[in-house]
Amino acid sequence: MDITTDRSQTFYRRLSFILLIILWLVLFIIDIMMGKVEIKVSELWNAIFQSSQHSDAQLILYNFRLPKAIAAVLAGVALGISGLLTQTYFRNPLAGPDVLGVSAGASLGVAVVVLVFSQFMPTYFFTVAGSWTIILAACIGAGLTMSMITLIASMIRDHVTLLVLGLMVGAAFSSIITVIQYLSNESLLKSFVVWGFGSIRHLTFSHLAVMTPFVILGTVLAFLSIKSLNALLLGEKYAQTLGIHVNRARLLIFFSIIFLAGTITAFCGPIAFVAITVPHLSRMLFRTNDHFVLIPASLMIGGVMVLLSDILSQWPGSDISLPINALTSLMGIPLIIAILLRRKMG
Amino acid sequence: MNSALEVRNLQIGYYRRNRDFSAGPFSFSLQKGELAMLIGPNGVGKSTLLRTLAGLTLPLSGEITIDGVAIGDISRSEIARLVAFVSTETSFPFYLSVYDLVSLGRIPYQNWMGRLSANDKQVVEQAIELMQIGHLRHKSLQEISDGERQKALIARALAQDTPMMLLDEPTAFLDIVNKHYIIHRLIDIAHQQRKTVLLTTHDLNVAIAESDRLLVMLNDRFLCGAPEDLQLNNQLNLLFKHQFHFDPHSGTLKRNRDLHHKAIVLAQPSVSRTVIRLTQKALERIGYESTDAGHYLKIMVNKVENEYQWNVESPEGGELASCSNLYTLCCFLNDCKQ
Repeated sequence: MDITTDRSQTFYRRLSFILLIILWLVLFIIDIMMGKVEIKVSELWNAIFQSSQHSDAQLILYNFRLPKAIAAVLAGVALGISGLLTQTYFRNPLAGPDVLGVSAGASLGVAVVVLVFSQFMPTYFFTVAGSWTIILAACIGAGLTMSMITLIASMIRDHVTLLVLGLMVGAAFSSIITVIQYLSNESLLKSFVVWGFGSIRHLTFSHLAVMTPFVILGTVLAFLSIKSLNALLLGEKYAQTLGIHVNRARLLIFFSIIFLAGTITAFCGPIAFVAITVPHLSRMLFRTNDHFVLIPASLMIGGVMVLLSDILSQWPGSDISLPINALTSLMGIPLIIAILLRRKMG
Repeated sequence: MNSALEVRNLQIGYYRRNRDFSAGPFSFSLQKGELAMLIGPNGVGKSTLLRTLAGLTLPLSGEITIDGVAIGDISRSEIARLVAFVSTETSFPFYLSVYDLVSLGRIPYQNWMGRLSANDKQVVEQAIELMQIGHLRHKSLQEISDGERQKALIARALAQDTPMMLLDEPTAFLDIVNKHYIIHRLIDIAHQQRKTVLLTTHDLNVAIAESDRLLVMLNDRFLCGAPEDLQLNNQLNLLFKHQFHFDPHSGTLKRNRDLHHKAIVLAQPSVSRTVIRLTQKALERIGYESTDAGHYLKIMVNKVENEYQWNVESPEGGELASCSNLYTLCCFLNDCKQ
């Protein structure tokens, strides 16, 4: 590459990252201000910088809006990275933890422990230990599903068959969860609702305190895998001849995916089409497959996408608040269809 | 002479469910600056040998030494600095530019972040230049031709900057121009960069004509030598199980068969030897052996006003036919058989 294009490329990338950070901050602030009770800029200012006054705005801000916005960011970051890693791990550009049933596996893990524990200790899940149990169950559920899909992928070379099988696994798990919900008593149902299957709006700072370390751990594992991920783009054989310990590398990526996807599913429920869409947006924007660029890019774009969905789901002036899952799907699906059509039509 | 690759009593193979395979033992060595080609029938274990040399499969027994280092004793990343491998896999599901692909060859020299240093970039540039793919640098692997993709894959192996390069059928599915371009490029690389290049191929003509060393792998034996040496000893014919033989005269493969009919080919002095040889070849194809004398059909090749003419005479001397091309001659002679 000659030096001028090299430089202009670096400049373009830096500019894109700066713009993404600005967009992130702007959306974060808008997300905090919006909701059933609108917080004005001046109120926001006072709530943050004049903490002596205990205003309503401050109460709403610290108890509801801030945890919600932080959860949106965490969910976006985690889903963006886990989607990117899943696609490279399976060498399948249409893979994602949701598409392959890994998220549903995490949900099933949560549903099972909630079923078991709530029989004996109905209030267990309101404790911090309860949060840890939930996350552990989600990660185990996600891990078992990932292992199963990895095994299937090693036997089946066809990309589309793998996706269809993944979707069926996911549908089967969701059905089992529905059955569990129907069979459960009232207090159990309440536990499900408290754990907010499909919402980031019930989360408090104590939940975030458990989620954050897991998301950070998953992200660190992803960053540590940059070189292996790049080598794995060429397939396992090439990666091995490039000096990568493939099994060790895949194990790190595996844990990164289940920590990220499992944690978010456990606390926020299914948020569809973020994981599959974000890596494609990152590749389009930065025009590369280098994970050194793609991991931070997916992290930023994931945050932007979930924040934006959350803002749109509670459009100002209306009392309706839509499930965030519907918004992310409506944003992601057209893009995925466009990518599919472009691939198939050449 | 300092051997770049030394293989001693190497037994290769793998154990898999319902499909065990083993071959060997092999012993051979290759020198620096040498291009060797490995030929042999399908399923004899050529790819397994290559994969074993690349450190992808463990040998069952025996020893492999590259550049004086036994590869059983060193780590995977150290092997990656000794051997580069180009597999038969050519499909990549992701958008990957040629430049990105070639840069991946520098992975064995990078830290965990995988950044290219100034030196890395220089090596990548040299590899791109050697394979003459500079104009494709920003193209995606999906939008270039098979030949161009193979060049890019070889450039990636070059960027790995190893004393030894292994290539599994690098010319399969390529047209004749690309095939020869790639073989000649690899020969230049071996000779000029003092690398040892070992590749597998099914193209015997190319292997005999171009390789410095020919390795022949058969179910029951393993041969290694200059291609001409193997021809001298008639050892190449072991490859063909009595169905073909290699004709050192024409440098081509010929079917083993009995020619039941005979004919005499005569020519005017103005007719070139090429035309005579082509005539004989056409006769042989339809089952006529050409001889010098005897009671057989005579074929006279004439040149009349820059046009060739083939006159067929009966053994008794009467003219039977006059043909203006070899095709009509063949048709006529086929009729004569009955």
